[in-house]
Amino acid sequence: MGKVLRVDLSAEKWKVDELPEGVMRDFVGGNGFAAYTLFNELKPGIDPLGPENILIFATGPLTGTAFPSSGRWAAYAKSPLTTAIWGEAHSGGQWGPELKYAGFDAIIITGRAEKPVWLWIDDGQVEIRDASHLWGKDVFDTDEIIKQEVGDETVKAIYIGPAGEKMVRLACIMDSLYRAAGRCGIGAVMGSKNLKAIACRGSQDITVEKPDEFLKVVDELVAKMKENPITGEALPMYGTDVLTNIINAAGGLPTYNFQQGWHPDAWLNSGEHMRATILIKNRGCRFCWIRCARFCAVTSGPYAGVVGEGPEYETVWAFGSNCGVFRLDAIHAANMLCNKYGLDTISTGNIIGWAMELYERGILTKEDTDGLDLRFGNHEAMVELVERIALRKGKLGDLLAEGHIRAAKKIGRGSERLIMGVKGLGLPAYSPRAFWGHALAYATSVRGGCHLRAYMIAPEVLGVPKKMDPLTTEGKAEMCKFFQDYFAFIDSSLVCKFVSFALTPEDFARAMSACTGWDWDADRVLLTGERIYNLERMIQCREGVGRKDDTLPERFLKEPMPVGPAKGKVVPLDKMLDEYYRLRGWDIETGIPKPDTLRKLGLEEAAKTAEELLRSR
Amino acid sequence: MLVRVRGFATLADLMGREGVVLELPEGSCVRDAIRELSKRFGKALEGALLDGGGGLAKFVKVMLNGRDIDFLSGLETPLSNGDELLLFPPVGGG
Repeated sequence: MGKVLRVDLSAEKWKVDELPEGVMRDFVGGNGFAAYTLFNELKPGIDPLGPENILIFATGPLTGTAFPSSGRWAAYAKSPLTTAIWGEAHSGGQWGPELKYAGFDAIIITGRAEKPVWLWIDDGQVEIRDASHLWGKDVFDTDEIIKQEVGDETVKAIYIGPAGEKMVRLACIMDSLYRAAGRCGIGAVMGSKNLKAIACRGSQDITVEKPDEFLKVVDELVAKMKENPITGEALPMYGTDVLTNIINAAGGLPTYNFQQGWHPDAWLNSGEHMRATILIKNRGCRFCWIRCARFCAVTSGPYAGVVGEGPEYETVWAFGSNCGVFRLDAIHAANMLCNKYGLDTISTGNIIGWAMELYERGILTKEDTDGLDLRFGNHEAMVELVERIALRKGKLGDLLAEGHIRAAKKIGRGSERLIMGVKGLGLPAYSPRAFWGHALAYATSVRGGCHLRAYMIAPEVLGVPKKMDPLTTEGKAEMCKFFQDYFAFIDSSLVCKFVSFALTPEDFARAMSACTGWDWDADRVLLTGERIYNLERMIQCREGVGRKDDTLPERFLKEPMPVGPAKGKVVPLDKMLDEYYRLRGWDIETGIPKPDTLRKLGLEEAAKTAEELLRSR
Repeated sequence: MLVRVRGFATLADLMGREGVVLELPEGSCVRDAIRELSKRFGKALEGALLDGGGGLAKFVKVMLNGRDIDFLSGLETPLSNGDELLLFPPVGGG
């Protein structure tokens, strides 16, 4: 780890930096690298869609090695969608390892190009190329044209679609046609810099310090993953959509914009039903043994001809029960439009569900919706609206393209109360009233309404690492902190989190020791994750984020769940939040990390910032 | 009394996707339902659901009317007429 490509798009210049060893030891890569860079270089208060935003692409020391499921990368910037400041999105696919083969561990992009450009990184050589012939092209065409231009089908590219170009705040960055760095409007940041794509090709080695030891450890870890019934059987056979039935059974499948958590038709959207209908086969990202991705084809009905990878559980939920739609063909059609135009499926499905509730309550009229009959269940309207959001078509398309918070400001009429998001990031596929630990995770995730910084569904539904009752508060704060710290490490070593169904912090420590040559143990893995998580938190705190933002929509705090196994429940958030702050060593009133906590983690500058913030509040 | 049982994912392959209705004597518990299922669908199903010691296999989830039986009385949880048992093998996702 250590070679960083810096590209200044305003000056059209690039150079190579080497990371000091101390930084790599303390921050590892991925999230840690991004937190270190953004804390030191991102000026508070800048416009995320302006030239002063910093867009980072990163891998980690384990990326592209023989470590299981290591073919990933992530992008980071100040988010143009959320009030969380910290913007982050990870992707599988093909590109991550290729960046390392091409000679770099990370890219830091500053400024803004005068006209559309794309980056070509070829075995250490970097060109900033004209992209005027690519601008306006969808994801599929962009991939093809780039490969033709460099005369090589094997190059790996990431790109934005028209949604990113138009700075739709729900836009994502795509990899190999179907994989997405989805959330936080990261695609809009790339579009705001007039950067269309980054393609890589390389022949350089990815090395580890102790190859024999590393391969010995990796052999054991791969065996663990193959033996584990989740990574070795359930995920390859049914994909992530295997979750629909169990989450519905637990009363937590968000339905009709989170109005309820259960529906009798949910099985029509399940992984089992997908397997019996539109599934062709499973697929995997680079260097992954799990191979949980789906590849589906719709061969009959109004959506005949829709073919491609996906849909994932989150996508199925977002365009499924959240919108009152119980048919996989329409869901896959919406999914493929998101792939084509480069839109986050979670945020898009979430915002359409919101628009549907507003329409049914008369807050939006047919005039506001450009004639779309936006009742729950109207799948044709839903699919049409996906395209309008992607292309900013029509009054409603353009409005929703701005994200929930900005759209609600324009709509008024109480629409803001019905936003199912935290810090402006639309909530994903788990109902807070049915899973209280996961509700705490939503409230406290640095990205905003995110399920991936602490996947509390693992203990509360799946029994990993141990079973916890979803309808209690006991032990939830501690488990949430554990997952956030562990996953911050995984997101910095930069491999796929799904390995954590089978692997432990000890496993990561053994692999990292052989990879880096330094001494890692489970405690150090978690401490490093804690350090990284706290630094990310400070990036948002110094711009005003705090306890007031670590909350949930009123629906989950005040309105009892109407049907299903979690009927009658609301989320007792305050109690869990107090305990969470206590365990984290953060100020209970403001949610700001205490200076002592930061000092113990070696974050001296952040501690000074925290002191100032606490003094002035 | 009548109890409805459905299996999911790989368990659906073993016991059919539609599920079954079991007729059980009054006072039966979850363990009795599983025994009845094994009689109907064979050792493969019993092996998938129970570990060697007669307890529930690791990661297997049994839900009674939406609640995990681990938070009720485990395999000894009593059943009533009209109850619904949902059986899940180990699953995961994101």
